[in-house]
Amino acid sequence: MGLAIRYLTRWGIPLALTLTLALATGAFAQLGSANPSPTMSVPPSLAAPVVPSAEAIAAASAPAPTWPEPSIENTYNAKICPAADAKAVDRPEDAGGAVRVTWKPCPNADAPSPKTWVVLRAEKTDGPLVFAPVGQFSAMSEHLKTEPKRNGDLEALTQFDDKGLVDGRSYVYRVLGRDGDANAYAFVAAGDTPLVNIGPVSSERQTFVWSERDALRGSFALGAPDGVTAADRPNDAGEEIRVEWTPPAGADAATGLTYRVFSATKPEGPYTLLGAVGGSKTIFDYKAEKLDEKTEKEPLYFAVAAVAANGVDLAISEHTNEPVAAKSQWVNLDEWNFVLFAVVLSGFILYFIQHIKSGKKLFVRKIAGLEAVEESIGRATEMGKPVLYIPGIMDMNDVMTVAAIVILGRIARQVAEYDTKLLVPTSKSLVMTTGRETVKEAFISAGRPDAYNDNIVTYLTDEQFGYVAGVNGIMVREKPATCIYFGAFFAESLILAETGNSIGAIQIAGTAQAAQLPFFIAACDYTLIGEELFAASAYLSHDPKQLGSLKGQDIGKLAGMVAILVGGVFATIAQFTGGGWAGAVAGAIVKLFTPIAG
Amino acid sequence: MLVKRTIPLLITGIVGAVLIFSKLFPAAESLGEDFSIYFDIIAVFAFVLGGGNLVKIHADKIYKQAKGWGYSVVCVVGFFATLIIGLTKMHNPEGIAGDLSAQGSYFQLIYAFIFKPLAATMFALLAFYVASASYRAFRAKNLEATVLLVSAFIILLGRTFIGTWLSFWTPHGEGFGIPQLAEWIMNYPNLAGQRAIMIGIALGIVSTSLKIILGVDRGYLGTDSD
Repeated sequence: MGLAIRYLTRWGIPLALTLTLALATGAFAQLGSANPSPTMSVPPSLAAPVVPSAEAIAAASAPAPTWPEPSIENTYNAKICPAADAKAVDRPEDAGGAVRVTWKPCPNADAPSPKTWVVLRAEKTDGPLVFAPVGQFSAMSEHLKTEPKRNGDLEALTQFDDKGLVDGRSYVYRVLGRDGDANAYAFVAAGDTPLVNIGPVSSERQTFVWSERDALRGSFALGAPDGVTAADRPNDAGEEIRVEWTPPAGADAATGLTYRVFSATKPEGPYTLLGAVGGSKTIFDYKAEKLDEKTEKEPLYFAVAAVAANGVDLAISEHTNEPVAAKSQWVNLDEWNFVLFAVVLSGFILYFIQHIKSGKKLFVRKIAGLEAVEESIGRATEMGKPVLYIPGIMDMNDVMTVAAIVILGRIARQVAEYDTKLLVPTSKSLVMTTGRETVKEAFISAGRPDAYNDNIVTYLTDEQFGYVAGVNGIMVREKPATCIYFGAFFAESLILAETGNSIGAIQIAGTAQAAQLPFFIAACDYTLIGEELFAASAYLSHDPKQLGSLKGQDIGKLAGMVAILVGGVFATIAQFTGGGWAGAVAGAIVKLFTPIAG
Repeated sequence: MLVKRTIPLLITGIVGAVLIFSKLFPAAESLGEDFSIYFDIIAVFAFVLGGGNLVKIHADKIYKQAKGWGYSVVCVVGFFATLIIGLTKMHNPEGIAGDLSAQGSYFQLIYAFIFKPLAATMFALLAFYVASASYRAFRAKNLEATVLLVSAFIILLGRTFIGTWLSFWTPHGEGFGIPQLAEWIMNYPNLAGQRAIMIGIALGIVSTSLKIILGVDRGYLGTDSD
């Protein structure tokens, strides 16, 4: 019986699970992202709002909305917070027939936020406005978005797309907030005005035929854009055509012009809207997947319309004389500086690898953190406690994780030679499988295959703070003598390092996440800063071939320093001389280091 | 040797080289996206291994009643409960065909009222750890630590009203106040240091990638031997 339970617990349950687990692994990921962004310390899972589906809300919400006619009384006596900064604009980048209404849910905390929003629409005519509901949804639905403010903070914004409209007609919108109590309402209000209608707004004109050109002009006061040219964008995969034009005479910022770019396969049309740009721009890049294949059979004519501030009247330019097709180029010459750097740097690295292989000596600066690795493993051996190795929280497609796994191989070999216990909890399944292979090979090459077991490298969870909780638990229970953190870390770096510090472990960390370096420096005994993490593998291996690559890396740094110094000197001279040859040299250096295509 | 050494080295070398050249040849640009999809496919299979490993280890600890086995019970029960509720879409208002995250479903409730508060609790520990780590880092035990302490003190003052208040006697309109000094520290010495680290990191990535693509560094395969 005991044997049966043992086998069932050890193997039966896991095997049964493996059949069903694949179906559920993406479950939490659907609710909140598991992978932290490389540029954020806070996990997206904490920031992402919970957004139930529109269908669920529609089903849960009461049908047949009823509300009183807006008035000053029911706006100001509202028990709930009204919408603010409501705007209605033509929905960008669509095929027409839609208007986007946005507003801020609750700008102050004096009143509770509405539970439900109702969007009302009226077509603008000469007569009274007749509003009808066009949308009703929960305040916590997928309509709730966040957008970055200028200071980088996120701001809540509710967004509703009203579809099925007629292009060119004007519409007026109102937004009504409800808290579920039939007597409580709040209409869109701004400043001292109790009730503000949003709009009028029109959906952009999406198509026209050439014979309509003059009729669409309306009350447009200026001339049409002039000198419209279209050409294939060079050095790409045939996915872009660039359209350029000259603004009409008299156009300036005050006229509130915008430009819409149209294309057609025949000069007479029909012309279809490709996109729009602000009045200060005179270039439009039409980008589409496999545009070269599409335009090879049917090359395009282009025309540009200057659109008045009312969004309806427009003056259309002459169309391009010749049809244009996108073409794919074999080589991207925009990337010449990338190729130059890749070749030069690789050349130096390969040269020094060969140089070392021929038996030449090379000075390698001592890195205190790496010198301490062997010492710390020895300390763990003497104390009879394990070594804890954390390879970061990113997956195998991150170069820092790759570097961490390479270093793990070196450390595992030393651990096997010292006959010390090693613990490697991972936060990604792929890192676990790769880590196991690496550690196993290291134990074999150290002559200790018997000391290896699969429980050395384990999987905890993909979730950032679940992983931290798991690792902290291991630290507190197992009390490792040495904690090594190599790889990509985010907000969890300090929590891990401080817990390690509290148990009195020697701590060595290394990451290329510049934002986490101060935390490691504050909390760990040794920290590998940036590039030292990538040098660690070569350093620990004592392999001449790999040490040669460090020298090549140093030459790259030297070139960077010289370029910065020379560029700085010439830019300073240019400031005093008003440009000239010094400015040209500084400009050339900037160009050399700037990605052109970007 | 062929399976364990040669084939992995060939795959690494070919994929790495193709990705580099895709930057130069527009027609090969889409290959980068294709390789990312291949990675996702492989990662999905590894998920199963990871989950299986988690349960196996904790089931083993429970059976042996190893140190801290009570936590393993919580882990396994939580794992199975979430798995079953997620697979059966228990109490999902949209039924079995509905969205997994539909409001009101038990799975969504687990996420909103158990998982998120627990994760936020772990994250909140950071506030206390920042204080304890800062205390150790800011002790003026040598010259570098003293410079760090003084810089941090100026930035702390400069980012609060106290910095402006203490600078009342300086011509801070001309950039001589504590807030301006704090900005200068952030914009020049701090930024210069960060950029130097970033340049070093970029070169380190190039060097590491090149070593792995060319097979010079085979540490990820366990040994350096051929």
